[in-house]
Amino acid sequence: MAVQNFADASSIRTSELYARASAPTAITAGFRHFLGTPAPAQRFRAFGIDPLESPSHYAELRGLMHRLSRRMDAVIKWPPHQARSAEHWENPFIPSGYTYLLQFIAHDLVHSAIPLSVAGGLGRGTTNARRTPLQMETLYGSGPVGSPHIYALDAPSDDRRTKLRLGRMRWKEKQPATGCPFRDIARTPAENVTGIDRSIAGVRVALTEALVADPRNDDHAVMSQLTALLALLHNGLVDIIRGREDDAGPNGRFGAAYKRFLCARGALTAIYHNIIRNDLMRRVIHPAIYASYCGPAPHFIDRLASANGLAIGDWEIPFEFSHGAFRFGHAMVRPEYQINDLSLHDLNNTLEKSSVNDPANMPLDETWMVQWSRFFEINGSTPNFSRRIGPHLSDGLGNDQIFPAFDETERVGLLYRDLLGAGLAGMWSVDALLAEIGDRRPHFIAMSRLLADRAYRVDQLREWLVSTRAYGALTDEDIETLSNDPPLPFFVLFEAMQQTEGLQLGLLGSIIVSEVIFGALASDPQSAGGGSVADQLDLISREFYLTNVLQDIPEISNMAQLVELTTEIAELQQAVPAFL
Amino acid sequence: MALERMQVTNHERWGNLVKTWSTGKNYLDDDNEYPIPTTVEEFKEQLAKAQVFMTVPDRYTKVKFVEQQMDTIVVRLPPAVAIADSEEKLSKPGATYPLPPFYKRLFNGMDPVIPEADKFKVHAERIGDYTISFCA
Repeated sequence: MAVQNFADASSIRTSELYARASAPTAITAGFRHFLGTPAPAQRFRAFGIDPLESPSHYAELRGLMHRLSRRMDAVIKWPPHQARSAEHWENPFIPSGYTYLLQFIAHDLVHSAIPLSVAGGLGRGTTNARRTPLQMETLYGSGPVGSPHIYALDAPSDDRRTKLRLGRMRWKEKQPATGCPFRDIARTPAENVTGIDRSIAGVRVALTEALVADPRNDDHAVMSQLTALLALLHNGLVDIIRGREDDAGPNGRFGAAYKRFLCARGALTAIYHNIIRNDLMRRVIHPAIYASYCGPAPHFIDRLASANGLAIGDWEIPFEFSHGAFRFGHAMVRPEYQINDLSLHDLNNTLEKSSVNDPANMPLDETWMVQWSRFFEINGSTPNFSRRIGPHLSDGLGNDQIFPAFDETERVGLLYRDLLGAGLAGMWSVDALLAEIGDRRPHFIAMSRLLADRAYRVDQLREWLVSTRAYGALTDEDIETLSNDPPLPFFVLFEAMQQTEGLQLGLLGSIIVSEVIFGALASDPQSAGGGSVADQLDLISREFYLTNVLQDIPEISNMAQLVELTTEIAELQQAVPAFL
Repeated sequence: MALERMQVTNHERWGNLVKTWSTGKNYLDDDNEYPIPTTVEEFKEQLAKAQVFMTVPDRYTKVKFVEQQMDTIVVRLPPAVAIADSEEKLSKPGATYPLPPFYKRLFNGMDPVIPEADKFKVHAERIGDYTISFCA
């Protein structure tokens, strides 16, 4: 059956490829295109030239994206909020924890060795290694057998592992006799054959290696804290299951441990899916689009949206999602974070705090221990709010140490990378994409004049591009090509600003994100129905045990509830520094 | 609400922009012109051109450049409200005196730790230093 499915899926892609593309199109393993591969005439063009067909024009493309990124340096003048008290640039409907849940999800959908922008073109190490979507591979790796370095020992003989490793945090000024609590991800030093040592001689050993499944989960302090939060929950679930299972006897311990691990992983994955469906997507997706996709059997317009029917490991991510719409999360990053009651850190400090960038100051100290009521609304807390979504990023994402220049434009920062990567991916042009979606779901496009009326759309884009001419020094020719053929990640941000005042994604961004995320959820047999978490946990438990060992887990539908459950089962109610 | 401060992302570029304004020689090693700005908008535009990525709070509506002379003592008095804001922040238990990230390089790569007992001392010393220094 699996072989048959694989063949069917391949034939769909192959037929679409030849039906649309007149010349072979560069496709990189693990990636595909949304709604099928666009024909050359349907692809994004810069100055009327398709970058895929004319690599000799890459310099013009880089120059254009460079100038557009500089135009996007201008601060957006957002309208004031009506109801809730927040800075005009803040989004009071999306607390900042969701920014990093989005980043975690991105890591769970895409894993490439090198960014497309830096590689300079498709097929240069840019393959996507993530071939089963949203299965928390970014947290669990290949499991205790395949990725033992991220799992803690359960027994002195090391014959079984079930819990994810954590590391002790550090106090800046004191070292308690009993040791600091396990609140950081695990980190370790390593001697290098190259002789390089980043330790501070006689003072501190550099913890250069983060013991996590996906190194990107240690990109910065909030990301590693979110990873630690999920590891704490997994470990608490393992304890709950162990407390309810029968004694396996000496010869059955390995098998029992593996069942326990799989049950806990299944439970956490079900909770994660439920939060994505009912909490995260509800917040970021345009309400009309969310209503079309949040139910148990959404009608996908992208035939390959759901991995249903594909063999395991055959799933692929559309470029229009990974290098287009899903980049919107970068616009939600704040310039600074109140990490806990005592510490406010700016974005530059936050981005620097990782084993790669700052190994001599690892593990994280108490000023970096995230108090989760600062990142999600918990019991009436006022968290850090994300930025409103629009064509502008926080200044810290222009950090020239973390995102240095890599080509002749000398442009630093994340934004240029996003725009250039999109230009190199051979993606659908916005016009062609809207036409294609309009053919399949005319009512989606009809909901927005920005999408339905091309002349209006071009005028709106042109008006915005010329409005702050000093930024980017866009030429008339630049403005003409960008307003007629905007790069997708830019348009998704522009649309959010125009349609929702930056409080949610606009319609096009919402459609692309919904197709991929809800499609991935639909491909998971446990989550596809969208039933209650309790029912799903019952099914998962009975896959491994005669009884429901997870019956005490409450219904978890949002991140606040996940944090509260973790606080309880990891016994962190009185934790210092505060966890909740 | 705490006072929003200007935040510099790329300190070396910011220093080179100041040197450019001061000397008229382009230290940014690019093709842009950097005349001394006369408005906040021009100031922000030049920050963007130089890729400083500085966050400038909305409350700033004017910009003033002071060209210091060798024979004139210039004492730049910080606004009293800014001192009060810092003192309030530092009074909270566990609050630390913030230092720009490049200080870490000067501290051998270690995050500088200012002991709880010393934070007001360091606050006063830093205010004194920056109020009269040439910064050159």
